[in-house]
Amino acid sequence: MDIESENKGVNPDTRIPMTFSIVTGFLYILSGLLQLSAGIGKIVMGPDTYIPLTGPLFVPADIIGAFVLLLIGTVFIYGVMEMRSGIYEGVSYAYVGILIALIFAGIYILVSTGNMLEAYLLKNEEFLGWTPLSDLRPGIYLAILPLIAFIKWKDMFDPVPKDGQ
Amino acid sequence: MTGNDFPDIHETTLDTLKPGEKAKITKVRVKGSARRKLFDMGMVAGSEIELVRNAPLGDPMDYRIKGYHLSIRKEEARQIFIHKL
Amino acid sequence: MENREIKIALTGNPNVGKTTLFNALTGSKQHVGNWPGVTVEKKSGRVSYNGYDIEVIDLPGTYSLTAYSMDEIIARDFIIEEKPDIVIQVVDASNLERNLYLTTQLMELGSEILIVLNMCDIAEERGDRIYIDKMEELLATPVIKTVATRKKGICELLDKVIEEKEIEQYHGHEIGYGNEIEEKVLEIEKILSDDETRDKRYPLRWMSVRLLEGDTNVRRKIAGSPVYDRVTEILDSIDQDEYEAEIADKRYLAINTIFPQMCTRANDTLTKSDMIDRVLTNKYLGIPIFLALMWGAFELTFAFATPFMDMIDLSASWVSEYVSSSLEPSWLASLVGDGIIGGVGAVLVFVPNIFILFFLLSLLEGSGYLARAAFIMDKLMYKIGMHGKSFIPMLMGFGCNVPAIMAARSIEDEKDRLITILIVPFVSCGARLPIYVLFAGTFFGRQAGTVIFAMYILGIVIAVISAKLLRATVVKGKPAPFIMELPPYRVPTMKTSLIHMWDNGFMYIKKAGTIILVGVIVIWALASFPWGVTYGSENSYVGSLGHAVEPFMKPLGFDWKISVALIFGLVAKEVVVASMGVLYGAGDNSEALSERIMADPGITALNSLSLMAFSLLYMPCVATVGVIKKETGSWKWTLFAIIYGIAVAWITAFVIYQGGSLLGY
Repeated sequence: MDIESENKGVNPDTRIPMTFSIVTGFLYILSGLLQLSAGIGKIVMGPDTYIPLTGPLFVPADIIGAFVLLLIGTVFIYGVMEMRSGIYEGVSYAYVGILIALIFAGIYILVSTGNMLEAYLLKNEEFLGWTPLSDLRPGIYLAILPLIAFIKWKDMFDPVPKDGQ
Repeated sequence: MTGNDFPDIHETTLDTLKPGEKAKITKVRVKGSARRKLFDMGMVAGSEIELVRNAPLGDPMDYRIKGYHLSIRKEEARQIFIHKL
Repeated sequence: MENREIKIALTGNPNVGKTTLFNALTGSKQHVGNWPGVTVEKKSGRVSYNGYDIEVIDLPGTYSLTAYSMDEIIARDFIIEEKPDIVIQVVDASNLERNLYLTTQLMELGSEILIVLNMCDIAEERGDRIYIDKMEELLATPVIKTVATRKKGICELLDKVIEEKEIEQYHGHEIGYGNEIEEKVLEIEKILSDDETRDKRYPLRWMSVRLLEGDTNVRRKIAGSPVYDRVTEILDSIDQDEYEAEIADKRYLAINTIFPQMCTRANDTLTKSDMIDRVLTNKYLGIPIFLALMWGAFELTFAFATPFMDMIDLSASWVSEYVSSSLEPSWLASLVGDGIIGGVGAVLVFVPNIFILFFLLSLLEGSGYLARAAFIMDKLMYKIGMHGKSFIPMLMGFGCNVPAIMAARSIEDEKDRLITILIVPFVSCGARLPIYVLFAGTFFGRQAGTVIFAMYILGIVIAVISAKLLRATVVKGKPAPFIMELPPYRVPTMKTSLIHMWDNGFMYIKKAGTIILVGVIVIWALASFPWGVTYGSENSYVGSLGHAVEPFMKPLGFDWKISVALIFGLVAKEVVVASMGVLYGAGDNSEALSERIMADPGITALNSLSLMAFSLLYMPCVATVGVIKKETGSWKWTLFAIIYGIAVAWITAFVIYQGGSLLGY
């Protein structure tokens, strides 16, 4: 599928984005799995099911959200695979992974802002007892890693000559 | 539809190109409104074209031509004749 | 001193930053309307600069000026007929070669051109070098560098516009098409010039070339001319397909001979855009990422909008109550309170959805992802006789059909767009859910979820069948060919997205709003008269109407009460539930309503199934009807959508009810 030949030291080093992708990718996948089990657990075993760690880690029982986390994790790991086999373009996955992670964190924060309006301004009964912590979730706090990377690596993803040039 | 006005063993159609392969367009045999649109987008005889990738479902295709990305379906690509480079 | 007037037109390929430049030039002094007779958006604006009043008209973005699409015909007719003082072509510096193709056509039109080289930053970042002086010399046209997103070069551009206007010197250009074609061009030019009555605004050479290229639009323009037969005689004697190819070849050849002199392109580099595409259109990751992003857009359009919709709802009912209690006599209070303010509320409640949706669509388009969405989904959509671009509008339909139909605007082909608009109403929107919840919850208990899911599937199946049916009958033909640029990814500009959002949101309020308002007032009147009856009761007009349609509804298992509720559902489908509440005397209490419906021997599980299907499919709500009229610009198609919807609903409900009865349920 990949037509690029292996590069021999022509391209910038990929060790840093690789390490970053491994760490971030696994964190996203682990929280994705936790969130998935919380979501499925609620459906299969009833609403009172408690999955360990979901409380202190603010993991909601949200299956679609779990897929988003798994997807972001997979994008990072996919990049690691390519970088490992010497394809420089593998850093693309780290870059897009960072972007998608930030986009979803943004979406969650906006939706949470909407909930805040419902709770504090409109005093909607459905949002009784809502606090900003109710909407905190891995999709938001895990995005701190990509955010730091995004700010620190501004130039990392600038155009580079294609292999062999 | 065999392109016999150019007896050329390398001549084939655009849909047979593999990702990363480059070719030169020899003839556009698409008919109808798509024909003009293809010309407008730079699909004229002599243009160099490269298949970048297929869409995730296999069709349409993403080609690089005249320095930009153009996407067309296999259906039209089948009627565009090329000379592989 | 009187300001001097200059009229300039902006042209250019799509995705070259034309709108951004337009916004940078005109700021907030913009006017949005439609081009006469068509639904294509027309934007114009004004700028005062150094004692000049400059009118800027933003022409539709096109790759060419052939008659391929409505956009291209509008752009070229404007340039020829309105004769702007200067035509500014916005050119993407990172994609010069293809952009110059439009330049060759503008030159043939004989207009005064000024080239704006936009996005130089991207080209330079990639390592391209463009020699402006050489470019000006070779094209015999002034060239100005700008970065519209950062408002760089705007003043220089305006200075140049004024300078060009002052010298009023025409730069002539011509492209040679080779001996054979040139002979024919001369021949046709001669014949055309014999006709003294011809429209002199159209350059003869341009017309001749277009005719040889097989341009049907130009051919129609000379259809009434006394020389028409002589021209067709020549046109019939040539192989137009060959000429068309030859002329396009020659244009690109002309570009290829000058292009290397004014630009050196960097060796192939791996750009950010290539990197992003590698992931977003990846064979395995492309579709999951697409679905995730769509889900995100959906969340924002509907979940994030909810508090704002609630606010509008609350204020509307608060104002309505206040007015009702303070107005005399009571019929006036009811008209203003329930009718007019209720109607205005019904219009405004969708505004948050629509504003957010258009903001997001603009972000998707500006970033370049919208083209990838069509690229990714095209194969699937093509299988059901539709274009890849129809996917996003249909998906949005699950939230609300109103913004979904407006989102169909991104589809250029008229037929593809029409079909999308006609089938979106079958996609089960959020407002239909309360109906399913009430009836499925009442009659199907633990299976309720399955029944509701089946309704969503039914909607999709009917939409797909309808698409195929329409393709085979009233909107004949295959989906438009998929020939689409995948533009480089860019960071969308906030200002462009906000303006886009405001323009479209406002258009909705203005155009669809009137129809919705009228619809709501008509239903209010039906429910309130003859004077003195309880609102919406058996004795009101709507009650009589319910009785009148009962014979038609009987075969579906509906009595007059359900018929009345369905009529109310035209305001907004969730109103079906509220009016059932009134008719069964249960008010807002959903448990009481559920019990009373259960107790009514007239409604069984089978009736309720038939009713759910009917509610899903029958005539779209007035808001949807309003946008269908606005977006198709035709009462004929709006009426068609209504009648087709009712027919499909009736047949489906009939099959369910009668089929179920036969099977003994």
